[in-house]
Amino acid sequence: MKPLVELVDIKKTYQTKYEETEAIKGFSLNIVRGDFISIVGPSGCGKSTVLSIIAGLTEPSGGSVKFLNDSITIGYMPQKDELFSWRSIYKNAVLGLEIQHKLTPEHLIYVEYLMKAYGLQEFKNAYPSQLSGGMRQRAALIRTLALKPDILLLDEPFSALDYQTRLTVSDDIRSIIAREEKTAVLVTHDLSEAISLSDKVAVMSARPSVLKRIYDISLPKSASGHERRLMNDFAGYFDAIWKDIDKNE
Amino acid sequence: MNDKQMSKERIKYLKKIKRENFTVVFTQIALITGALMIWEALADFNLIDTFITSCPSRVAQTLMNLSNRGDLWVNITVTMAETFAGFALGLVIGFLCAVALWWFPTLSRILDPYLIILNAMPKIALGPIIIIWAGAGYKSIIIMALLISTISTVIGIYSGFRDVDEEKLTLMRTFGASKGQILFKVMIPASYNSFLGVLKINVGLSWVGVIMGEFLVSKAGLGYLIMYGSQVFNLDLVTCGILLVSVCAAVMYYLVSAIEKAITARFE
Repeated sequence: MKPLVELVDIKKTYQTKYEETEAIKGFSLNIVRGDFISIVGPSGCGKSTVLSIIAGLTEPSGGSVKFLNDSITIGYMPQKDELFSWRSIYKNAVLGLEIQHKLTPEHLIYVEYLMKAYGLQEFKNAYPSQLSGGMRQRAALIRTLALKPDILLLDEPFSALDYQTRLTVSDDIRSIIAREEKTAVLVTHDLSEAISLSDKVAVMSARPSVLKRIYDISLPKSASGHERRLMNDFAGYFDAIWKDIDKNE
Repeated sequence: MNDKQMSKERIKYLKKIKRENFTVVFTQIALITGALMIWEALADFNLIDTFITSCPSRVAQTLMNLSNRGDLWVNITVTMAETFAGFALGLVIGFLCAVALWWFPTLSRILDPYLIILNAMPKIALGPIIIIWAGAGYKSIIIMALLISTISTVIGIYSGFRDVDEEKLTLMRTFGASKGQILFKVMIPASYNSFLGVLKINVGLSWVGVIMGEFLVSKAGLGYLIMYGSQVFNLDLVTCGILLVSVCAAVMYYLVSAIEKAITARFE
């Protein structure tokens, strides 16, 4: 199967007034339809930059990003849910559609379906401040899914949540992504989160970073994140990846 | 909640709050009545010279006279209209300038030092020039109020724009939003708090501008009453004017506060 996105030898150098910093020296990755890939690595290694480059928000200094075709679209989930406090949940969910002038019956029916399927129907007219952290995160996901993106980019989307909520929400989001058959790339600094959620874990080295290794996580796809955390192989993956990151710090 | 039996602790708590509220309001009323009574008593016993200090009964009398002659409403209307004009124009012009600064970041860097100077400068120093340019009339008064409130609006709203979470803008860019869409769908609504702050500050500043302006040029208005009163040494009229200005400004401030409360209650 041809990959949806091919990152070939991506380089990124940051310019500031006083110096230039080589953040990424060489990063190549193929994203295939249906993948759930996590990117981990020491802090400051440029994980988020990779997402930003895929999303087209940052221009790479070298290398290339090849999409399967021109119609491939990207959905982006920020670190905080960034729901607009002055809009109702429904109005937040259709924000992307509104901006792209796509408030057509077809798209709105899909939003209705998502809200119903993921338990936000009765909070349609509520404001974000009235929802729990988990529900807000779900609303943010629906806002992204409403545009039917081919690839979801998740930039530490659970990092603003407390640990207890985080476990529940990450499971929740994973099952929604699986049910909607989406391709996802998750950036996280939480190794157990990466292993419990994804099929592949890409490990980056410290800055100037390269892709060190991609781990295929062969825990059953049908199991929930929580169940996967309890499986025997989990500890083995955790240990291997942890040592891999630790070595170059 | 109401249909349930309230616990003893809750009843006690609610009583405590009620008592505290009562104490506050009671003391507030007592303070003002007390002050007025002492003032009046001092005047009655000739311990103070009412020619210089006036007294509550004479202020009330002056107020009645003004009202009977129909002067009261004319003066209040003139001043309120000027204040409102200065306030509204300052808001609109200031807002447009803030948008321009946000839209063109280089422009904001170029204009930065000038804004700081304009903000620091006492605008009243421009009074004489304004009078020469705009004439000794209501135009000068409105320009004065507008000048004072515009600069603070620009600075307040622009800094509100800059405080908008960068991640919100990233999100908008991933949707492919245009700059105009970002302005109307994020920047303006996201900085509603600084708008409300600016509104409150501007109420006060517009009054400063208008009263200053009326001191300098006017033929009517509350500032004119105060100025005229002081020139003919009628302290009753001066006090009456100050009282009216305070009441009008407070009413306007409370209106803005009510708007603020309604908006924040909805989103927070």
